[in-house]
Amino acid sequence: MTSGTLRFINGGMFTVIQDSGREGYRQFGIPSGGFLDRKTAGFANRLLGKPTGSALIEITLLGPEFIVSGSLYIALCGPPCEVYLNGVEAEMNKPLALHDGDIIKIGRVKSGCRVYLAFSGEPEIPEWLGSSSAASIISSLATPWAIIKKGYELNLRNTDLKKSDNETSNALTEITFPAIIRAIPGPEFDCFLKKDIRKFFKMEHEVLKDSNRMGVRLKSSIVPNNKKNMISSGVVPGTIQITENGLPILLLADAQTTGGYLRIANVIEEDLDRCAQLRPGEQFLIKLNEFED
Amino acid sequence: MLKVKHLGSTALLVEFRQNIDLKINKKVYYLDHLIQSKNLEGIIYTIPAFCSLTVGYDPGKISYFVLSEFIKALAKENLDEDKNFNIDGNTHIIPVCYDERFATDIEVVMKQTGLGSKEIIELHISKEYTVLMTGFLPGFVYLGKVPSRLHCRRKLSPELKVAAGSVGLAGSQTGIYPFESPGGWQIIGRTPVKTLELSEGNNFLFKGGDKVKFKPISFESFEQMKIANR
Repeated sequence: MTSGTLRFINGGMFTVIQDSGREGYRQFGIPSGGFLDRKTAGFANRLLGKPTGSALIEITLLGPEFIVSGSLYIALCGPPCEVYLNGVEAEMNKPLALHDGDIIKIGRVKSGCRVYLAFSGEPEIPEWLGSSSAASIISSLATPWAIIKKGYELNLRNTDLKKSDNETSNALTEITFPAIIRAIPGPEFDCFLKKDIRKFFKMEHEVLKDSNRMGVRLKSSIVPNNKKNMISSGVVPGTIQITENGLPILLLADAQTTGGYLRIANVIEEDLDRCAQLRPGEQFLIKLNEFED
Repeated sequence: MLKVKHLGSTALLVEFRQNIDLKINKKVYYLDHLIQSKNLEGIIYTIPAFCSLTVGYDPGKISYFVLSEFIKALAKENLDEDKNFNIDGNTHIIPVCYDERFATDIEVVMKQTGLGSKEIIELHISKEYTVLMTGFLPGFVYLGKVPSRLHCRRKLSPELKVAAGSVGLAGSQTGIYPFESPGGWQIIGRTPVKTLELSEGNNFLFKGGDKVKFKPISFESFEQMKIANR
């Protein structure tokens, strides 16, 4: 039986283990988490013949570097990104066979924000509440094994390549500019004036640097007409909330489960993967869709 | 009586009268319990809050229309004003050390309420509270309602580090920090009890609707219990 290990020389900017997440604990304040760009992550897993929800490595903006022992396969998927195998540029979006002593260096993610590194075999990673995923705010306590830094070792058993899924064409999240993210009116939509709403859903929103897996912060604003005595209530990935200062935050999978800000709109499910690829500095549009049942 | 709204394309929001009120909150948990017990296909999760219930669903299995009509009918049949909405809950006695070493914001609370530290403690332990909501952080419980004389404001800018077990006040609620984290509540004491267990097993001490009473303990007992709980 073949096996392999990835030994990280460098962790990159923010490199974490993610799978499809943990469901069933939101009533206890635990977000579902899981890979942000589910489509791309699923594609990476399928390239190696694994179920779409399997654990893999989520890389944000600047990738890690690791040495291989044993033999195994990887697939690096997502928007264009620098990747080198023993110093020579390697291909993305296809399985790569790696052997003892190989060094993979993943550099800058050139457009978009996140790339996904799937690996063959079964990882020796513990779970918390049914998932291996790093859990943002409580990660260092609850899922320390899911944060990849210098010195991290990932052991894999049974690393032979399973038969790859052939129905994988065009399964990456498409990245075009400017992104047009579709949303439907949220519960507090009526707290804003019509003219402000019209403006908000026409303006370009710039992604701020302090965005993370909990939320994308936007450099745009809309001031509520009616602040309402807002009582904390449920929020979900895709909720666009407006802070008291009028600043929008687009919530992602690691966001808290309840919030006290006005929910102006919610991104539709199909466009959440593109939200995961919003990169600091990028400008995009939020388009209002009226909901059809 | 209640409103149903879209919360994106895979969740809906059931809104009760918007008020932090024990009676309304009971209805939230009762409706949650009813929905869960019907085992309807397509429902993925719920998030009960003070006076709302979020229901996540799979639109491939159930439509917004069908689900919202189902919930409205369920509410109409079962959430009659005269009914008793009790669901089985536990009562917890939570030891709290109000020693000044832990009560980092007692001065602010004294200023805002005009009460002495002794009165503050007496008022805080005088009531049995209800778990109204868990949120903001994993395992952070909002307990209410606090006697009105004890109401105080949240900090304008949150502290970067609030110790695990810190017991705080904000508005009509009191809460317990499950682990060290940022936070803006006014801290008046600390419990040695772990409210969020990270290892496998029973992870959450409290669930919605549970009752909580605080019991004052000395600094020495705090230290002893802390060691025992390790």
